[in-house]
Amino acid sequence: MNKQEFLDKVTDQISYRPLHPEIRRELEEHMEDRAAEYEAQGLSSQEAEQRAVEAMGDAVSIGVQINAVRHLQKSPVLIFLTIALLFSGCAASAYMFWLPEQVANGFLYYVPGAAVFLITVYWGYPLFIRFRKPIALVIGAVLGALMLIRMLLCAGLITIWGMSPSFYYFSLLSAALLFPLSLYGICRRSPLRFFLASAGFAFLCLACYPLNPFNLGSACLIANMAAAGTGIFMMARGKLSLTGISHSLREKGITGLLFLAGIGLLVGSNFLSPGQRRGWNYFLHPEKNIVSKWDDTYNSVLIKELLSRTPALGGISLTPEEMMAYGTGEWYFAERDPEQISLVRSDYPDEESFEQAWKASSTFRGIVYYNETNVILYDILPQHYHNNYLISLLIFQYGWIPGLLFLGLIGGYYLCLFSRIGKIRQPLASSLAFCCGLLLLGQTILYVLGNFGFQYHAFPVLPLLSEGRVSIMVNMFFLGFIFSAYRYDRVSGFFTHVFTEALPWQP
Amino acid sequence: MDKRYTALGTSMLVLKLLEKEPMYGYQIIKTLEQQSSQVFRLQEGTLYPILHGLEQQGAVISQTASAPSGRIRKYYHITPSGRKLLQEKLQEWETYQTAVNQVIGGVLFE
Repeated sequence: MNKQEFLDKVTDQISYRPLHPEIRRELEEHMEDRAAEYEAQGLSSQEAEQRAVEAMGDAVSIGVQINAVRHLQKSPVLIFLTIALLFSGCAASAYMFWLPEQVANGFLYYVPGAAVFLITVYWGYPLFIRFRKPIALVIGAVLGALMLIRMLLCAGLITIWGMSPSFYYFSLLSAALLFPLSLYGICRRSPLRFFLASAGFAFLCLACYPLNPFNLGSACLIANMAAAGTGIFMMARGKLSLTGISHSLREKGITGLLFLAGIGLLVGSNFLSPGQRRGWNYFLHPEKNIVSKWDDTYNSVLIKELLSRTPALGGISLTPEEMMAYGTGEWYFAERDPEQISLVRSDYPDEESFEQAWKASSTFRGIVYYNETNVILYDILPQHYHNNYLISLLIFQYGWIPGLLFLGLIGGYYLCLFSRIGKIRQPLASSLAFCCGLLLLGQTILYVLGNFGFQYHAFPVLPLLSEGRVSIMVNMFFLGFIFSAYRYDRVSGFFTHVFTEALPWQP
Repeated sequence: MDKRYTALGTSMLVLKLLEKEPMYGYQIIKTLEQQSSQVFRLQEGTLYPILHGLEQQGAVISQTASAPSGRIRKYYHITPSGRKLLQEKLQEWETYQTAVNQVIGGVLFE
């Protein structure tokens, strides 16, 4: 067997073809070195090459062993489950939407969302690594533009109407990816840099927050917590300090203090502004902050009340009178502020008398178009933000057990997702994937809490299952990136040298 | 020898050599032969699955650089976690060695 036949046999065993040139080159150089030594000992070049090939050992066995450590990691079941969940979310949206146009609109995002996911799975991580600097610049430019818009808004020079809050929301969430990238994009990773990156990121969130406080409150919280969680993950994996091990007690102390200070800044910045503190107050004590039936705090209180009456199986059972009391808000406002109770349209025989009653009201009262004869459960449930309340609606209609099973399904999916992330070995890949996982998990946790009557600022979406537009595209990118980082983890050794502290080095 | 201990021994020796300086595959084989007075003569190709395995564990990283001879080589560097792994392997080896010595030396039957 000559050298080329040996190399062919080795690479035939390696399933990931882009690795072939690298492995061929390395083995070929080895054999050339060995052959040169044999030639120096007096063997002919043909004989030397033959001996060098023989010294290498069994080509098939070498190829099989290399393939065992360097292969693509596929997750077909989890990828299939992700797409199945996405399209069940599409079905849920179609069920919850009221207009056919909205259903069609939804499809416009679900199908491309699946495409974004698959494209990211197959090409996301290698492309991200190759173009990490332009990507970081683009994210930075978007955030810079946001800051500029904010300044112009504050100065009264522009007014923005109609810009989707999702644009702000997901720009800020995506910015969280800059956090691990900034720590790995530089040669030396130290606790001081972690502290500076934490301070910078917390400041960025605080600066963006006033752009759209109601919507960005939860985005700031999720992004900050994702950054803090990623920092803890990196520290736990020994990826944060320069040496991986702090040698002296003093060094350990400084490392610990800077780390805790960074985490403290990221977590603490969610309580700094009055708007954020108000958000926490609404979250913890919605009943103290209800002004009218239009408030989200009212929805929180209504959800808690209805949940307390829902049995384990079979759904909530209410009389028509009770349903009307909940539907109009009478159950809550009768003793507090009767002016907030919705008018029942059918109580008025004609348009004129209804108009009079409505205008006589000092507040912007709600109107209900059902009455005790035709009211159904679906009329009174909090659903005015399409499918913000998927889980609570499920519990009200079918009981606690189906609702908890649904939550278990979501929990199981995240367990599988994070177990994949835990298996990623490359430092940058695992940190970015963990950050993506936390961004998705953060949205899910806030969504679930909101469904149990604990709403912090605006509702985030429930990734995969909740309706959305920009959210579907961005969340599918986050998910795809996790799978991509996992997929290329064992074959992308050539990416790591860019981020290691040992280099540059010259022989 | 038990296969596990052969693998343990080889990767431990490789890490030990890389602890001193970054090396390329052929250089590792040669150094191993020289320092062991020709006792350790591996089938040379078997070194590469070990190096790639260590790289995937994050114990070593590779860098392509031109050697003093002018040829382009793939150098392997030990990482902080590789140093930690080396310490663990040395300890495991010592335990194994002590157990072998005890049996051979008859300590167990004293």
